[in-house]
Amino acid sequence: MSIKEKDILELLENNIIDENTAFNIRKYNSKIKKNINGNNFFLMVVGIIGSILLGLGIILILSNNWSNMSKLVKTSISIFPLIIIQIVILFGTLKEKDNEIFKEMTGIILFCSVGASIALISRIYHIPGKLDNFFIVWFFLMIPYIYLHKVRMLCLLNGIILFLWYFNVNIWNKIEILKLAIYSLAILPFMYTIVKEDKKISASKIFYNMWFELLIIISLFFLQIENIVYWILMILLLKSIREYYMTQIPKGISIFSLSNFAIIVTTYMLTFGDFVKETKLDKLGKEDIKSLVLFNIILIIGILNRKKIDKEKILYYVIAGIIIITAFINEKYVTIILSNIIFIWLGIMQVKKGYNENNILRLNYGFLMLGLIIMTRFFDSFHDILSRGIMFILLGILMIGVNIFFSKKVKK
Amino acid sequence: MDKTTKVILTFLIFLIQLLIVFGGIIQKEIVLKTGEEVRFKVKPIDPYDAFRGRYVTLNFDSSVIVNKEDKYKKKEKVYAILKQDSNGFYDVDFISKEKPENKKYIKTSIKYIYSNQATLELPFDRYYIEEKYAKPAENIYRNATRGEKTENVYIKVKIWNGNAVIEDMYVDDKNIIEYINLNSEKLLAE
Repeated sequence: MSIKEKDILELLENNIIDENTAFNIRKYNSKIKKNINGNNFFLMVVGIIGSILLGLGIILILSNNWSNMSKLVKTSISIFPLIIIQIVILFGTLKEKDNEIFKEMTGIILFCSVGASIALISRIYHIPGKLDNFFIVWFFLMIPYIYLHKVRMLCLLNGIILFLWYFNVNIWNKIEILKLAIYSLAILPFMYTIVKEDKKISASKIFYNMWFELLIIISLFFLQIENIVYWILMILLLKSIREYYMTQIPKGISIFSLSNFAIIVTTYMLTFGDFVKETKLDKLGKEDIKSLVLFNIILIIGILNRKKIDKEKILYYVIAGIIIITAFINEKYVTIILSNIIFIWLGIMQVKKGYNENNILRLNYGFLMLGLIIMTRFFDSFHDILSRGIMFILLGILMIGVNIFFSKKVKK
Repeated sequence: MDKTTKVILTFLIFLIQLLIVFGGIIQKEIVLKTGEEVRFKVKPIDPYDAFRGRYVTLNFDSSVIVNKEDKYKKKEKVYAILKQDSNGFYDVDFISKEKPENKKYIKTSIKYIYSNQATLELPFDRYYIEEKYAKPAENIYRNATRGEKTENVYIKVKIWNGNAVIEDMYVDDKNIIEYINLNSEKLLAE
């Protein structure tokens, strides 16, 4: 419920409420408004990603019969998504949509569309050459856009593309190193402005958090943990110890937490399915696992008793739990489906949290996760193209359904 | 920056992106529509490109004997002059720094050079193929190398002004997809 501004003024005039109460009501109103905006944004993200998934699913199913299609049809399919996103961005610029989120999201979609278009055209015309040419064309096609629209995430993605290019050429060749340096000049000025502008994340804060994270890496390295269940339990254990002893983890840097990152990476690895085979479940020492599980449970209970329950923390424990259980089941398809859904969910959660905290870094992190999983599955040749297409379409419909269902609820 | 400038600049950036993508398409289409047809014998194997998907590597002999006095260098742009054998298939005869007259040729570069032997970087080294056809395509090649059956595997390439574009791949004079569909049971069982 919210009380309108004119009603507040009327109540004030008639001395029914005092200034203090009016202030509280206004504060309450803005909180409700922010919540509604937050929900709308969240639904918008779910809706857009749903539509992208649906579109890509249709492309996948169409390309199942790729060889029966004419070149004209194939070329049109390859370029269509690029033109659509270009029109959307032009329209947004025309309407002066200076919304950060709109900018970042459309930027990432543009980046993926450019890459996908070049890749598909290369296929249609059997264009030769290693991946280096492909990456460098992609890199330079995005540079002017990055500077004009100041999209931070694209700067990072383009940096990754540049390094992918470098690893595809002869890396010890002096000329290639020189080329890398020259190409980097195209993007470094922009990177510099980002670092300069971003005062929220100071190096000392990151460093303060990192020493504990370093401990995790060193322990995992020394224990030579190859087993996924062990790996996750150790991460959880160290995460729990950190939560238990460090009462003041600086706000806003939790996304740098390696333990969270490790769980995200593990989920991502599991989405490939083949990774399950390599977890060497047979080699587990049952006693060790029991003691690790027990120790974790004790620490988690300790944390939950000490502090106000943080939803995100529990979320990671739940996810880790699901991963461990699926690894034990050792059913490839259960793991694939679950880990894909969890990964998308984690991405959306990051986006939502980033939006609520007004933390552009976290927001981008979420978008990057979503972009990554969509691109990986789209180009994933290890699974049958038809089942991938169906998975994309079902997930797309599910997300659009969620959007429609909750939009109605929010309106009510 | 005001709105109009930003919109115009964005439009220009998009235009460049599209021009580069379309430019590639148009260039290839010109070669396919106007080029002369030549055939090359190939040995297909089936690797995977993480970004562009499955393809068949077209292995064929692209090394030529060069005259040491010509001082060819690695990565140097050269013209590969083609010759036709008695079965109608083409092969690289020799390379030249000058554009040849009245001969079929391809613009290419030297991949590496050792003594008087140069290996060329020909503009057709892969044939992209759908996932479901990739494995059978490789089996065709394996059969051929095992000597069980020597299918006639070749590609049709169109060349125009030294530019070459693959038109299609053939096995026993049938389009490879058609061939695989006809022999799918046998090829998939292997």
